[in-house]
Amino acid sequence: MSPRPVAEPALGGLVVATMFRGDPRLLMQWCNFHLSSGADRLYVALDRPDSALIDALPEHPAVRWEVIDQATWDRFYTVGANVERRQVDAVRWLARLARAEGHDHLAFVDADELLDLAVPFADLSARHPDALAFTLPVREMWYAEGGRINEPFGATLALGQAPRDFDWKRSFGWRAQYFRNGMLGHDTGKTIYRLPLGSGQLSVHGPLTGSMRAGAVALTDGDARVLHFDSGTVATWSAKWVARITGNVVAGGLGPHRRVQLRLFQHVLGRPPEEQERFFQRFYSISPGTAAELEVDGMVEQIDLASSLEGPLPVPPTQVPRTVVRLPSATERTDVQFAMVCDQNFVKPTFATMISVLSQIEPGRTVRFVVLGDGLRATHIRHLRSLEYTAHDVEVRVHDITRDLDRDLGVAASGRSRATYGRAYLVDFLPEQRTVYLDGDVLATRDVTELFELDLGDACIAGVPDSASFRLVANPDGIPMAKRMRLAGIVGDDPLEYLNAGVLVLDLDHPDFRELWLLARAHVTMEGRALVQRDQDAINLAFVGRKHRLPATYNYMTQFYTSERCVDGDLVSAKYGSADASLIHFSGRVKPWLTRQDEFYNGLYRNLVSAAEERLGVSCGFYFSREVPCAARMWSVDRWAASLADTREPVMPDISPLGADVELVDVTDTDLYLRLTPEAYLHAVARRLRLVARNGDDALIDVPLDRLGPQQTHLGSRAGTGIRTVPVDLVSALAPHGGVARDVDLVLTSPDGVTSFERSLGRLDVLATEAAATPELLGELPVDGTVEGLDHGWLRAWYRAPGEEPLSLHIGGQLVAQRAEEPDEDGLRKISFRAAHMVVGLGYGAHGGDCVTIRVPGTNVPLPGAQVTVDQVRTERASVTVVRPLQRRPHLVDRLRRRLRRRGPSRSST
Amino acid sequence: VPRNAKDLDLVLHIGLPKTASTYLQNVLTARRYDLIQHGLLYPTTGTYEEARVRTREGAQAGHFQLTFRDGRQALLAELLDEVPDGVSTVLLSAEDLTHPRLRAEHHIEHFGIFRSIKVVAVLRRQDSWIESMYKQAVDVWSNFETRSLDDYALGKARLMDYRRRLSPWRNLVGPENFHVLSYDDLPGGAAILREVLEIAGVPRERLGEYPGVEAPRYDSVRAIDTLGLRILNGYRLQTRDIRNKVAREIYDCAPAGEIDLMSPELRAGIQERYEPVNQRIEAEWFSAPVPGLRFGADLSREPAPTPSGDELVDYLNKVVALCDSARELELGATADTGPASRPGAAGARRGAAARGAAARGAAARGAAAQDVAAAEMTGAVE
Repeated sequence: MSPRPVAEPALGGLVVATMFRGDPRLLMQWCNFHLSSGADRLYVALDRPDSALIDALPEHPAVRWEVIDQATWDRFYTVGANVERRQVDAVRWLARLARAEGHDHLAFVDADELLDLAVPFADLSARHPDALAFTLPVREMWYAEGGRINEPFGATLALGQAPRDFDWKRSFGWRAQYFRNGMLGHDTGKTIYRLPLGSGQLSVHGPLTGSMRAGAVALTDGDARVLHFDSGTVATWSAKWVARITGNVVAGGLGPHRRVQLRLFQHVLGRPPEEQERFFQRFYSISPGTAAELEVDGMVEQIDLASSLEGPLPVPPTQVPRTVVRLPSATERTDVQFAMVCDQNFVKPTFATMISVLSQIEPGRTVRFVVLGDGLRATHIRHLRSLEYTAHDVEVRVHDITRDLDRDLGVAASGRSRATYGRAYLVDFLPEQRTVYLDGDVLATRDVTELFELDLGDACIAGVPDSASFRLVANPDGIPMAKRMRLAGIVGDDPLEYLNAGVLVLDLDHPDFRELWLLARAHVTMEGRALVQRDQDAINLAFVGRKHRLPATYNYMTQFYTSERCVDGDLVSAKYGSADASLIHFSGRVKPWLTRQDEFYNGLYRNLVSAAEERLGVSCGFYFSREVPCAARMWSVDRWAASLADTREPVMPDISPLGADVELVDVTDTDLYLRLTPEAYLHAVARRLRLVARNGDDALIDVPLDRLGPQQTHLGSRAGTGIRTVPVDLVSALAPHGGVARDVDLVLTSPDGVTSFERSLGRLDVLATEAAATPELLGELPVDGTVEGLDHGWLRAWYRAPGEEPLSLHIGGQLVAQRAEEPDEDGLRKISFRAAHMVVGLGYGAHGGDCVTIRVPGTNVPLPGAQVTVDQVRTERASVTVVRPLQRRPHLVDRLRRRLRRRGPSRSST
Repeated sequence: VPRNAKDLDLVLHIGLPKTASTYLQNVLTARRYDLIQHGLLYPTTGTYEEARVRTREGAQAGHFQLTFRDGRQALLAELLDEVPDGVSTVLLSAEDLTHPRLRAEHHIEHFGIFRSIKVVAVLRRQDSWIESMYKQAVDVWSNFETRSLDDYALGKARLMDYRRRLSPWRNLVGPENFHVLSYDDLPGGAAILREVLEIAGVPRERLGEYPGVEAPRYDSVRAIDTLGLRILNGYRLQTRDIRNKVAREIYDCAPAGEIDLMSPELRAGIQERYEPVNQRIEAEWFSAPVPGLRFGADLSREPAPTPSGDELVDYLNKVVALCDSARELELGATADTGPASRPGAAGARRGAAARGAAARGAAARGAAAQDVAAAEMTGAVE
């Protein structure tokens, strides 16, 4: 591998900015790299730095340090505000500072990201003179095996974008399931912005909507990219993830892939530091063999930045060893632990399985059930947890895996229960001790706790061979060739190695278990739809050579033993030899809890469940279950508290990066419409924040937010809740500008000016008074469209504009409704407002001559086209006679037909 | 909708039920013309002239008809026709606005025609609130509620989380237009009324004029009455008049004193679950401390002694005798007149078959209800 040539000075013409909190060594190295690469200026927003860091900050003419302390955050944001929201506002703030210093371009990257340009930025800028933004791809940085894992930028292997069909699992094994488009961290890259910023919404990665998005140029990896050192060092990694797990940091962008990563790390971070370090090394490193394979595909590149990290700013020395944070262990071992998975349809049978097992265990032993649920409701969870109130010492933990299944499997294929795949997620939730997994159609006839003492040798799981395995041994010719070959492909020459997954002993105490199970899950998440026997195939594949075979009495599959297939070879003797089974698997399609059919195993199921219900004093709720009298009257305080609570697991914060508690909605000549949450409203008024609209250095509007009016309840679902108006005099404000201002920034400022930080509410491309709002202004923007006119009470229009922001309907200069439409293939959006309903039904438009207009986002200029007034709407409404087409009502007709059929032949025919 | 809706402010008293709302509605109805002098209209549109519940006097449900989506637009037009000149505020009161059948935004969608909306909710500590709700459920005609309070409370967790339940209203109208009052921190319905009127804009110096009338209160029945009514409900009497008559007789024959309907475990469970919720509500929604919403204090305004065992046995015997005779009376009436001529729309709708089955099963169920009630009562007395 040869290092990529670096352009000198690549970053000339650029301000590079970041927001920093964490390891000072990382900060200085970040600065040094970008200064070495020729950046004109660095802006570093220091997020709540301690005094030691502030005192140690070196002076450098090209570096500007800006401190944002806790008081500043508290002044502008409500408690718990999204971190990403703050970062986006910091980008806008730094962009304004940079513009004020006369800079033309600003790049914003995280402090663990380095801007790596192969082509000087000046050349890129000259190549795309009209670009409002340059988006850069990202390369994830990995450690080479044995790499310097205590150096923030010590990773040396840059992994690039892969072809769509690249087999990540082949190269990365079980780790591949944590990738998103081949990336462990984000795959979105970062952005270089032209100053001043254009209009539209931003995320930390770049423009999402508006003119900035429309005017963005996507750079290729060959020209420029961001190197993302997501892993950091073992110390920063442990600190970062412990903060996330303990909830000290609310990361808004923690998507589904990051959440499963979090669960994996949660387990590791509870281990001793040396184990953490081993895991870190293993998880974030690429072996030489893999690196060589990836290099063949051109996907990995070696980059050693050591020489550009050490100066000009002094770098603090490495502290060895660094403190590795460890999570406290919250789970105690129980005597026995069972696991199961169910969806709504299987709650009662799963409960039956649990009680059948529990009723056989001698009282006094501690028992834990861990149940993974797909789409369970609070009532289901209460039912499952009711076992905790029996005489036994039982703990029932229910975890929701709905979102995991949504992410990895989507909607289940017809006829398939996707909860079956849920076993794959057990490893994330099971407290670390030996566990017996049971399907929800398994019942115990006796105590099976000997499975917890069983010597498994070097095996990690134990189970009973699948029925197909028995048949294959007894009579290979009786099995279709395709099935034979599939099993051979999974387990090789010994068919009995293929276990049925209905009953499994999982030895979580075995050091290899976790990784093998994660490998099985990688099969499920990455190839799930191709697995014939679902996760059973995956488990058998992953644990090849590490399985222990149990006697058939531990998983007596009724469907198999009662079928006509069970006649070959020794199968008949096996059938009767194992009939006195400890665990009976009611594996038939017709389930005994659904049918009253008087078949032997149905009766057995009913008897076993009824006996267990009787013994424990609970009810499964089956048609044959007995009722538990006066249940609530006997409850304990704990049970009441648990039952009254919402027993679903607390959902992790899932805040959209766009989710803002204050946002601009619309502007008219007399009012500015803002949307605020109740907390944000109280906060803004209490802190006496001001809203300022700036055009360059000129403050067009400066108004205190304590002048906000009441919420516009009439808008309600027509435009969203929480909208308030603040009065403005736009005509006077824009008079010196001829009634029009471009590139207007809206910010929240503090009244006393104690901080230079300003919270951004966005930017408008064009702001014009009603009189000056001509269609030509829209021509300056990438907006095209026209109002077509009234059509049966609907005001219809079409438009083309970047972004997904809604259009506004105004009647008589007042905001009445908002809505957005999806564009068609040509980018054209058609939109209709129920104008007649607004005017005639809801009484908008006090004066007949009032105009009805549609306004586009990013400006307050109306769409050109038909001029519509309130009078016209009324007249049109009055003149239109609504003729409802005579529709056939098939359901009524069908109902009538059925009724007639039931009556039999008509009298006339007889 | 007439255009003048945009010139009017709306005050919505949304309950909760069992927080003196009926008393408020009765006073507001009685003082309707005086309130107009303050620019405040308590409209008749949307109210029922006849109460639906008649076992006791004084029941009404405020602007109950305006709590449904269907037909509300027409009713609002009718309401606005009722607004006289000089009125700037409309006050509506309906505890069913917090009923889970419709979400707050569905209500606001229609009420949004007004210039502004203020929302007033009266909160009551959950343990006493659920007990009061339960007593009403047992008392009301046609519910045939025979469960114990503990069983009844089981499905009501969502209703008791006031923060989750009322936050949508607060989010819709804004925190400054969302007002909460604490039932147990105000000395009776008159004080609640005056608070509501002040929020609605009645000048502070005129508040002393209210209530100014003897309005019927629809207080909860006593716990001992509830026990008797549970037994009555077990008989599932289908004739409203007969049922009402027996209910009144049950009230009359109850001994003095009170029993505890709620198990100590449920009471403690409610405290454990909702204490943090109430703490947050007190901190975020109230501007002054509300100790009455906190758990721990005894809220009973007039502590009463427990009846003796003999008194309770006599009472139960009387209740059973009353119910038996009522059943005989009803069966006799059925035989005489046939199902078609039975009074009461609800009974007629259920149909003759259901009535027959109910009558046949009544004896068995009545006996079962007696057993259960007696067993629980014995526990309560012990």
